[in-house]
Amino acid sequence: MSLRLKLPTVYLLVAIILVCSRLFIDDTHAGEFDIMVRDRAIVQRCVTDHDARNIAVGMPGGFSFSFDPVRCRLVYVWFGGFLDFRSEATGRGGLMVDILGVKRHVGTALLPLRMGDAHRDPGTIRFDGYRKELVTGIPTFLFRVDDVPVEQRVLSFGPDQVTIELTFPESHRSESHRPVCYYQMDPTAVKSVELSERLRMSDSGVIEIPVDETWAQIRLQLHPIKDTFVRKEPTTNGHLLYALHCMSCHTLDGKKRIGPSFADLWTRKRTVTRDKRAEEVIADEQYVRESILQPQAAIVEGYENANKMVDIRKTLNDKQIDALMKFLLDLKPME
Amino acid sequence: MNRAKQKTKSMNSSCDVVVRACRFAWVVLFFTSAWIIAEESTPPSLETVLKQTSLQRLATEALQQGEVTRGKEIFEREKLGCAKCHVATPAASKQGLRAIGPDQDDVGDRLRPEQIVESLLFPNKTIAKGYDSFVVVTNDGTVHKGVLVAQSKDEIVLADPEKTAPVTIPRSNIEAMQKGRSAMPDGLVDQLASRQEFYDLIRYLTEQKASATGTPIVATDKLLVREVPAGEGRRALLAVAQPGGICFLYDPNTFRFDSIWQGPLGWEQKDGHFTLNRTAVESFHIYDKPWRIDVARVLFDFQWGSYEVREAGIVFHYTLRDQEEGRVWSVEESIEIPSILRQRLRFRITHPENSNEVLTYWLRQTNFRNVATNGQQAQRDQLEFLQPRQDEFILQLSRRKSGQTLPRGYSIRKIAGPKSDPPYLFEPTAFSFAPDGTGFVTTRTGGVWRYHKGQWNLFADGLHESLGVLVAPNGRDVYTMQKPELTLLRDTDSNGVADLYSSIESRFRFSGNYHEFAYGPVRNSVGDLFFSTGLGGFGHEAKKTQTGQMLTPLGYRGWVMKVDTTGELIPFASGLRSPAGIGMNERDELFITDNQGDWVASSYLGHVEEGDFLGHPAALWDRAEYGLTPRLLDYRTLDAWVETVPPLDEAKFRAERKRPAVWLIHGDLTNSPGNPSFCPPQGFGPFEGQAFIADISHRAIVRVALEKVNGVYQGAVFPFVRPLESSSYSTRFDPQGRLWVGSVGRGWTPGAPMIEVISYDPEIPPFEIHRIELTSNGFDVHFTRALGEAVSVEQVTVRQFHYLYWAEYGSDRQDVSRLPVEDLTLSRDRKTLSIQIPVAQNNVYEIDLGSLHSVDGVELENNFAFYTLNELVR
Repeated sequence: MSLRLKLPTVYLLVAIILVCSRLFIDDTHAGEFDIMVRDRAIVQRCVTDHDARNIAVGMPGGFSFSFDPVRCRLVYVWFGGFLDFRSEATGRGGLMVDILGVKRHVGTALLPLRMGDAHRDPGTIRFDGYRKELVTGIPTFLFRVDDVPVEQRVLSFGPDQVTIELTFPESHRSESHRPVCYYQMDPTAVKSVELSERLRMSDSGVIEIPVDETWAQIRLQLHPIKDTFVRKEPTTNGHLLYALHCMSCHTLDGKKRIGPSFADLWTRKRTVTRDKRAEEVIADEQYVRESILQPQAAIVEGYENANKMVDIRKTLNDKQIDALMKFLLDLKPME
Repeated sequence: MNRAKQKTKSMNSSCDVVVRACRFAWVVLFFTSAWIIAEESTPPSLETVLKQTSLQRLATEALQQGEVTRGKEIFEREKLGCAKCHVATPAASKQGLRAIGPDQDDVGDRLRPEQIVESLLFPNKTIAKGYDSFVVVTNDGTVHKGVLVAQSKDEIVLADPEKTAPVTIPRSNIEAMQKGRSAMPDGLVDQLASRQEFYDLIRYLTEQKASATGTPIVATDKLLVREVPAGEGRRALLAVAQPGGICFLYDPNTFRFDSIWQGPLGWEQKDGHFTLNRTAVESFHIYDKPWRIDVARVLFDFQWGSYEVREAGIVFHYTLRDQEEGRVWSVEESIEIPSILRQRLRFRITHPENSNEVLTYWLRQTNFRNVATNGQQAQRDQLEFLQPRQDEFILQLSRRKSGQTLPRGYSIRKIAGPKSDPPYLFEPTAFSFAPDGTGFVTTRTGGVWRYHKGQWNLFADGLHESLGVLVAPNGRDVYTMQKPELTLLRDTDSNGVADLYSSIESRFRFSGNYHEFAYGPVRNSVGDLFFSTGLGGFGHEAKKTQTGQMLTPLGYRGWVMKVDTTGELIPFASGLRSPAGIGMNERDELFITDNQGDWVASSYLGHVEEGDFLGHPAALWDRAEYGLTPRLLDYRTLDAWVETVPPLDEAKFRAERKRPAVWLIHGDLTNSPGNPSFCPPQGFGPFEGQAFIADISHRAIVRVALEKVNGVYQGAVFPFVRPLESSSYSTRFDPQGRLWVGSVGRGWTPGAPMIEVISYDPEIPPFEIHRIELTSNGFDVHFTRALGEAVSVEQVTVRQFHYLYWAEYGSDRQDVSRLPVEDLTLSRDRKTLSIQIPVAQNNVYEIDLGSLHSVDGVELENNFAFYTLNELVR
């Protein structure tokens, strides 16, 4: 006895899926080329709207900033997502990369660091690169202003909070101390400025770092903003995910389609073939998760020749699979 | 620098399309996953069993055991529905629509029996040209699918096997459109009752030969023209047979030559039904309605006139009316066919009085073909630019024998790349190997992967489009060239992952324009590093032209830069356009490849020495004499914008230009060459010191054998491997002498990103032209193995041509002439053929040896070469 779906039915299903999935384009698909910052910081050099040589840094927790390696300065920061890499990862590449957040200026002067004289532009600025910390991936920028070596990190310890950390390693060149270092900024661009010990700020926003100080922190509290940017995350609505990805083959009402129905998912005793051996199972969470992630591992009797289920992991991220799992768990009858 | 982004040239206008296409790609995923027929039956099904048998065996058995009459009955069986799609119904034909699937009446001519078997069992494996199925989403969200059976500039017509009537969709209504699977449903074979029925059906189909039942139509003493109906609303196609057996098809609906073939024009059946011969046709690769005004693509309304058969051949008349001003050009088009591999299209154009526009003629880019014209047209990608009011336009098409060529003894295998974390992609842009064999691979999205003992790990990431890599002398650290910087990636704790990203050199301007690529570095034995920078789409233009120029924001774009061992930066050589390859041979000699375009007649391999000017003048403004660019840029000047630039002295730079060492022959051998890799003494056969270069567009590797004449490099370029599986771009020999070839997945002619490794088996010596040396009276052609036969003067063809050095985009071959071979001598060891021929400076010589065999009977597949002659033997 063979069951065969009439082609028009398939087309209808396809049509329904496609129409439904138009929502998917607008809603969740925007994240396809997002660079996701997970448990390590990510450094990505790319053209953002600031300048061509920009170095973007995304920290776990949603804090990101842009560093200018020509003038060696923090340019702006944003909270939210990191980068939408679409323009680099598609086509001929090389177009401007969108930041996933609202650009926040932090009052940095065009040439913030000066040596010896707060009012004289540096003679030379030399960017030496950056060091990435092994575990966290957090970069430390290395550069020299008038041959004085400086190391800089940018961190954030809370909402609207930005910390600039400067370290002055001993120069190999001279035995003597470096000159007094000045850091220029516009304090009115931020809500408040807090300095580490021994640093002083003048009314005009010049921060003086004494000659024998090897470490300096400038902690900025930014003005809160209203138009916070929210990246449309891929949907985690389990029902929607079911509708988009499962419905065409697995019904909820017991009707048989390409795969088994979900109507009696948690209650039905079924025979499956696993490693070529038949066994009887009643679905539990582990079994259902396996069926989603490795659909070929255990084939329900009667579906041996059905078309193989697609690899859903190519379409859904882990969070979405969890959400889908939760939706399926909710189908479980009350005990 | 925001100007940079705003002034990005129109070159990347296709990006939007690409983005939309990507956005839509997943729709196909759904579509294909849902194109499923549920099946519940006792295994194994007939189809499963048949699929496990070899196609060859099934074909043989079908021919032996199949029965034609039963097969016909099966074909016409309603349940199966073969005829529904594979027989053009009179009703559909009336509407100008063809059948949904390829017509069955000549399937036995078109396909070999095993191909017919394959089409039934695996309908998606090979989809007949023009029968792709499409999924279309319209603006209101409706989804249509079907085979594209007709289209115009305003609408498309899709025929769905499941629907009675085709659907017409206005193009303006299309939100997204994507190729789908074959419209032929899977599982059809399971509808057959038995294996015997399968054999019967196959047998019946193999017998469907128009050639078997009809009378072949050939031209005997004069031209024969057949009008082949193309459906209602379309003009009949003009099928023309020439005496001598070459036929061609002209389509007056698309106003272009369609295809050419050798053999009968077609077959006429007893009932008068005529079937066109489609067995081995070659396309002309011309766009539909190929005329435009300029690249701006001002459209013409094409108005068909007539055709007439003259003594010299058939002539087609039509007119072009421009859609903006209504002016009318009239065109008379004809063709000469010296051979199946060479055609000359001739256009006589009458221009309206008030026109001074540049007309363009659009060709499709294809491999193994050279395009030449009669005059000073510019050539850009697939279009030919005519001069204003040019009234005669001749387009010469010469093709090579197509098919894969891989010299004996060489084999290709793929190496699986690592799994990249999206949105990063693994697209290998360059390779470098440490002495211990550890490989490093850079990718376009800025990663560096390390390949150690068969395992991949991400060595560095977050770089800005890495296009070059070089293992540092310590074997652990790695140099890479990013768009804004030459960087040394240091693995200070020796854990196989870079932790210190050291900025080595960044004192060249980078405006952010996507085309401002940077390549390298390479290192000489002293330790000096060299990198190169390309021009882009932002800045100043060296000369105003009809085809547009590459621009420079100044600041050492279009330069080779040297970083010496003390870290000093030296602007080393200038005049590069888009130098996608840089390489250094064992003798510390530096070479670059540049890509065809303005001031670059064809892609070439150039030898670079300090102070050289290689041809693109935009780089010259950076020279000290203009006072525009400081010798060393710093934080004040890196982003500076130079408002005005003085005109350049063309006479002066023309005289100064260093000519390419070897032209890489645009169109014929390369379009977009990557870096030269020089063959090591061991491991890759008898080609030590020769350069191997991959080409993205041709998916091929060419080989260059250089020689020095009067201290100047010149030599010959040969085809080597073609085509590879994907868009080959980067090459590098590993310590064992294997050639690694990387293919990028995006860009000008994208393919699938992959690594292919070519290895050589020393047991099997190849039979190739080893090198060509200039002599005082011609050329010595050296072979890797002794020739097995005498070579006649008649079989050797030598053509001489040169290229224009001009501001326009590319140059056709100029003054092409076939030279008389005065004498041929084969050396005593039969390994050197001396060709006596008159030669002159600053020409290219195309040397075609015809059919040759080695002493043990191996055919010389790569039997042609191009020799660039800069200097004569004194």
